[in-house]
Amino acid sequence: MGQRRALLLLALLGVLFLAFAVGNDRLLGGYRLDLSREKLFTLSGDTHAVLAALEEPLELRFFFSYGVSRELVGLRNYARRVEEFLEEYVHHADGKLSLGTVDPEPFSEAEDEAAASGLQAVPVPGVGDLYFGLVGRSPQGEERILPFFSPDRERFLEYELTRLIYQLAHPEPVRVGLMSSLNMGGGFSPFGERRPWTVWQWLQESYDLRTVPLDADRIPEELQLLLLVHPVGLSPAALYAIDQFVLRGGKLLVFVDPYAEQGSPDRRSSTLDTLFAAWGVRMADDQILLDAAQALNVLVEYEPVRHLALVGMSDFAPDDPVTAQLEMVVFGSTGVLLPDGAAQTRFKPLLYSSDQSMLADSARMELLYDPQTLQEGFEAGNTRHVVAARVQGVVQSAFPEGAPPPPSPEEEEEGEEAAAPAPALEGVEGAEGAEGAEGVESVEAVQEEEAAAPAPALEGAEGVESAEGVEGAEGVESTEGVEGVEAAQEEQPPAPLPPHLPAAEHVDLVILADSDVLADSQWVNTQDFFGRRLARPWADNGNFVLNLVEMLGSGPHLVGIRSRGRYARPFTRVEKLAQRAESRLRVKEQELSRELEETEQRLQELEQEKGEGAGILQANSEQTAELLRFQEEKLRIRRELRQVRHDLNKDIEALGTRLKMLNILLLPGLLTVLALVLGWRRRHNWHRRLAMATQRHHPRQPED
Amino acid sequence: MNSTLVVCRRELNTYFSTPVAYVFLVFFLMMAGAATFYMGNFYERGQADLAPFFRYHPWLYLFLVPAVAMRLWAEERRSGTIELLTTLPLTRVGLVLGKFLAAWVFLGLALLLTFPLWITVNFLGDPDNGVIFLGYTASWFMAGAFLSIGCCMSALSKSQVVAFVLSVVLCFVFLLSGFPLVLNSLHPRAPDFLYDAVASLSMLSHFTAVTKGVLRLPDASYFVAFILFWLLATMVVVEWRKAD
Repeated sequence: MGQRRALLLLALLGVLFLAFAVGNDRLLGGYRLDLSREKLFTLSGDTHAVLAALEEPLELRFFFSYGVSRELVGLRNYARRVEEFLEEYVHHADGKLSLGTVDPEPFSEAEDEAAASGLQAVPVPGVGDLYFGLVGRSPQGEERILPFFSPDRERFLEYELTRLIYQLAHPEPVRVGLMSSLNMGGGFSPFGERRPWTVWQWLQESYDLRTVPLDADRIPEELQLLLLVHPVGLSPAALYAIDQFVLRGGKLLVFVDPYAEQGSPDRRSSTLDTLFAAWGVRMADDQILLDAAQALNVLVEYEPVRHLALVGMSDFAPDDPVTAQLEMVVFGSTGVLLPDGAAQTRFKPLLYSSDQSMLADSARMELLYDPQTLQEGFEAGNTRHVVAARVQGVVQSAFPEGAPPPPSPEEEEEGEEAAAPAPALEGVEGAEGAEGAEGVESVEAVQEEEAAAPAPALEGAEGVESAEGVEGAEGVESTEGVEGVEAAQEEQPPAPLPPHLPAAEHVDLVILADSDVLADSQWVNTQDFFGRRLARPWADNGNFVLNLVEMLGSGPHLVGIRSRGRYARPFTRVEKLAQRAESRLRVKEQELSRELEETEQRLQELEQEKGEGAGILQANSEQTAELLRFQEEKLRIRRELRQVRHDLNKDIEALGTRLKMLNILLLPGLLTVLALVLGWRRRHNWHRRLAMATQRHHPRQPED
Repeated sequence: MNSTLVVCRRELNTYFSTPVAYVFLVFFLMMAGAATFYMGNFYERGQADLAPFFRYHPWLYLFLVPAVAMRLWAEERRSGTIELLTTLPLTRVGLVLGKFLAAWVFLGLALLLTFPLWITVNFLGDPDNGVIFLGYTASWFMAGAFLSIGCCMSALSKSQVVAFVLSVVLCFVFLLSGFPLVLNSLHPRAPDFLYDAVASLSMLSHFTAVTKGVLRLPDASYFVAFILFWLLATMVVVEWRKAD
């Protein structure tokens, strides 16, 4: 082949290859083989479910600045993947999704559109603004955006896309009812302004949060989820309301508590025994959990002290989407939950204590000045306890005979007093005239007004309208549980309750054995920053509660997707070693600390004795010797303590070194040996063959 | 096909009859291990995946693969045995393919011998083995891609050293073709599609994409087309230079 021909052929090949490269990504982009275990790059079943449920067509517009991003190869590659992913969505949406791609070039109309929709622009110096976002529109004109696809959030891509589509299809936020004996919404009281709890604010922001009074005899129809917090002294009517709410398909998130530090002194403990029995759950009565392995420290007189009832839980049920990305949830004086053996429901634990835990009488929390006293008599039980659980399945009503009879007048008064705490009746809007005694007054005023109005008008919106005429009743707007007020009404007969439901098949509720978990002091630091509250969480309580509400309220799909893309795959073997070492350290530490204390005490005694006998001129050599001995003991114990801590990592490091040697030297070593053996054999054979060959050609006398 | 197998087997035999192959394997395994554990902090990182292992493959291959490839043809041309080869009843295709396959199988063997690492990561935790499998596959194909360049360069030059240097340079260019280093050499007014084309030639981009656990068709076709192109080029060069 001549040179020219060869070069021509090579040039041709080059051009072909370049052409191929140009077309490669564009033409073949859609097909993929996803071998990752969590199928991170294919649509999950949850997304398919959301897409299948779409009723109206939605429009998606994908903005990416192709021109501006010329040099940013990594970002362009990611943009291509995002676009392919979006095409997957369209492909599986059966015509319900349409996708348009836009390059918002600088100074173009498209750029204006991007900016107007709220997409985030990243300036690229010298070139222009880069857009990389998504705008979704529903036929009703609802618009939701993903402002910028950040490559480091790639694993949440499916979640964010599906959530956007879901929110477009269900623009109304979940209606959540809050029935709480703890004042979470804040407001003004004679004692000053109380801030709303951070978790309450978060719920407010994400959901349509409404208050339900503690003495309600029915839960409003439109509520999808009920948050029941520290339900103290609920009347049978209220319990019945909750029972029926659950049976008709309402979701329930309950925070009971054997000892609520946030509750007022006469209302420390709450239970739901009647309902729990029907749901197949038990909470150990008046027992709180003490956990040595996960206890947090509190400062007592500037000294850190381990508070065995203040527990930072991190032992989540594996593979549960709600807890998959949480690290620590802090519970305070929590109870424990147990499944009731005879139940037909499924009891699924969500969160466990460590196995170095035990139950203690909740009375020990009263007047607890020194948390260290909780450590007295502590003995680890070697079983894990459940502090949060999900209950699902078939449930019979806790009131098989139907609604409880309306209370007699005396009972009614008692019921009123019990249900009267103003905080529970505060409107969600908050402050206006709804606190302390005034709150009760204004509600009672409403009640009286209502008593005058004809009964049917109490239902729903009409009731609100007629009540709006009453002064100081702005707070009532949000107490849709106005119907619930009927229970305490004086004259008019209450509107009939909805028909009794005896049982249900698909009950879904979550129970937590602590209500302090919601309090700010247990998970977040808040600061006032120029009039705005800045919340800095140091634990995951807020996320935990919101995840639970989201899962119960909007269904399993979103949370199911959110937990995918867990890139964290820890070295479980190393973690086990660390845990074992930790507990060994703990035991040794306690032993040594005790020895140290005893020794110090002994030293003190000796010094005192010595001091008392100061009158005697002759120094008691025996005492001096003992003093010295004890001082040496003290040093020795201190040294041992340090050693134990140092040894903590020893096992782990040893394992690491062993693995390194195995991987780097083992096979190379074997290969070297193999090479040497083969080499030696070959040479041996070669010599032999040479010897034989020479013998054949030059026969001679046998060697001696 | 027959020619291919014959050539392939002969080549492999030659490899293992000298210490060279063992030296290469030992060197590769030790370097890969050291890079994973010391540069990649595999153990301290605490994550059960082999990202710190695969990360260094492109750079290990950059020098080791040309070293394997350089002797494939240059030696034959220098010693004149190339004429002998072409007179044998072997097809041109079989010859080129056979030599390539032998070297590729050898590189595959080197990869397989890193299996203690796979055992280690499964012992320490619960890794995603699907992702690891794709990582090994991607690595093998990348080695194949580098090898195909090496074959061509080796056929081009009589000197092994020249072949080696040319291979390294070309491999480097393709490895980083999506990055500013290479892109900036294009004229700034070059059309968009040219930029994209050059960027899409970047082996590093395709390799990293596959090690994430998804094999997209463009990535697979890239490696296949790459190897195909360079082997075809090798055939052209062998024909052309056989007279020298």
